[in-house]
This record gives sequence, C-alpha cells and structure tokens, in this order.
Amino acid sequence: MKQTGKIQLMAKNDKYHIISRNEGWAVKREGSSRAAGVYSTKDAATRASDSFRNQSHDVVVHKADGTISEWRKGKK
Amino acid sequence: MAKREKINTIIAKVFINCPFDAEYRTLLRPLLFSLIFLNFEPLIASRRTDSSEIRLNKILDLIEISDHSIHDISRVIAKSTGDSFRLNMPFELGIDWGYKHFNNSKKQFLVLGGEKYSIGRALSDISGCDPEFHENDGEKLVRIVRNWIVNLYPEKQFDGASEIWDQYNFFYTSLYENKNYSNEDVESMPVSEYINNICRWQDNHH
Repeated sequence: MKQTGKIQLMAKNDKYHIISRNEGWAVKREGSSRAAGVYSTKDAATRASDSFRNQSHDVVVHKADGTISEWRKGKK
Repeated sequence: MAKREKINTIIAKVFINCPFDAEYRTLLRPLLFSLIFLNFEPLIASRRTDSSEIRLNKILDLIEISDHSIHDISRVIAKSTGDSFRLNMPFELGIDWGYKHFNNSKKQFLVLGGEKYSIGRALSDISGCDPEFHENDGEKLVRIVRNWIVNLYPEKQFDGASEIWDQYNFFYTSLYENKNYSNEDVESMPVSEYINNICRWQDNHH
C-alpha cells in the first residue's frame, strides 16, 4: 500500500522502547499495539533495536522499573 | 487497546494507602498510572497539600468518599536490624476496615505485601483476606491491580497488564521530553503534579 508523505514522516520520528517484561525484554514502537520482538536479555533486545536506530529512530532503553537507563539517538 | 465507553469517564474512586518515601516511588508511579489509565480516580493523602489540615482528617475524608481501597502494607516489616517498621499503613487499613464494617459498606480492598507471605506474621488478624504480593516489582504490581479491577468489574473491558505496563513506560519517557522539566524535576515530582501529567497525557493519547 502506498503511504502518504505525512504518514512516512510520522513513522520516521517514532521512538522504539526496550521494556522489561515478565518473559524478557520487548522492543516496541511507541503507538504500536504489538512488540516488534521479545528477547531473553536486555543486550539481545538492544542489539535488535540497532536496525531501527539505523533508520533514524530513537531507541529509549528502560530499566526494569520503567525508568530510563539510556536514550540512544537515531543515526542520521 | 480496549475500546473505552467514553474518554475519561471515572468508573470509581480508589483510596490509596501506601508509603510516600523515595524508595516506594518506583511502585507508586506505575500504581497511579494504572488506575488513571483504566479510568479510576486515585485518592491519596499526599495530593491534598493544605498543611493546616490534620493528616488523619484528610485520610478519614478519603476513606469516606472512596468506592474501593488499595492498602500497601509491605513496609510493616523492618528491612534490617535497627530499621523501624512502618505502622501508618496498617493503622489506616484498620480505620478503613472499621468504616466498612460499621457502615455495611460494599467497598472492596486490595491488600498488598512485598515478599510472599511476609505480612502474615506481623499482622496475623489479616489472615483470610488474601493479600497479593508485588515483590517490589512495578510490572507485577500493575498486573495485580489490573486483575483486581477486572474482577471488580467483569462486565467491562480493560487493556491487558503488558499493554498498561508498556504505556506506563511511554508516559514516563514523555516526562523527560517535556522541556519544562529537568531530570531532577521528573525524579522528584510531587504526587499531585505527577497525577496531572498522567491526566494530560491520557487526554492527548486517547
């Protein structure tokens, strides 16, 4: 499906989050209803999120309590 | 996310009896977020800032106007030798229990402890009321609160616990994006301001 310029722009600015879950660490786009992936370790989730950073998305890495441990800026 | 009947229609008011120290903040924040996200109004003594008002009077008012209560008595156990245990929370639970009993109220309680089976010995009168144990984990607490609400209102549809937890993480990030706040402002934000921020975020996102 062809996307409009506005939708593409919004998607480009969306952030991804690495969130602690009972079953591991989820990588989830803000505004999405489903996680892009769930990984057994935080490191694995962080590595997986690199592909989104390479597409200019910021990745917010959370601690297990929901606070922020690192804000990884998207690569220009 | 679950379809809401009407945005921000308050389903019920919930009195929160919990510690207010910095250590408990990592639990209080997701607790408040979950209630507001699910369209419940948290009633909490620290939100009323009139210092001329006697604290116990504030609490009595909140007990009287609330439909349900959450009592976190996890701090009734001292953590280490020399530590004092906290008696305010079981005291307020007792007042609420008495209010319910003598008024034939249908008010429902959620009693929370920290580590499993930790509060039974310290407060044996409570045995039989099935406390839930959050193990000092915010995500577990969100799940416990959400499931309690689902049992109270089986006719309503609520988002799942993982979705609420994810939304809490998104909301918390938004506080750091607010240019009016430094990191220190976010981390030491007063409860009333924090609640107002959740309400604003909720209005903007639904």
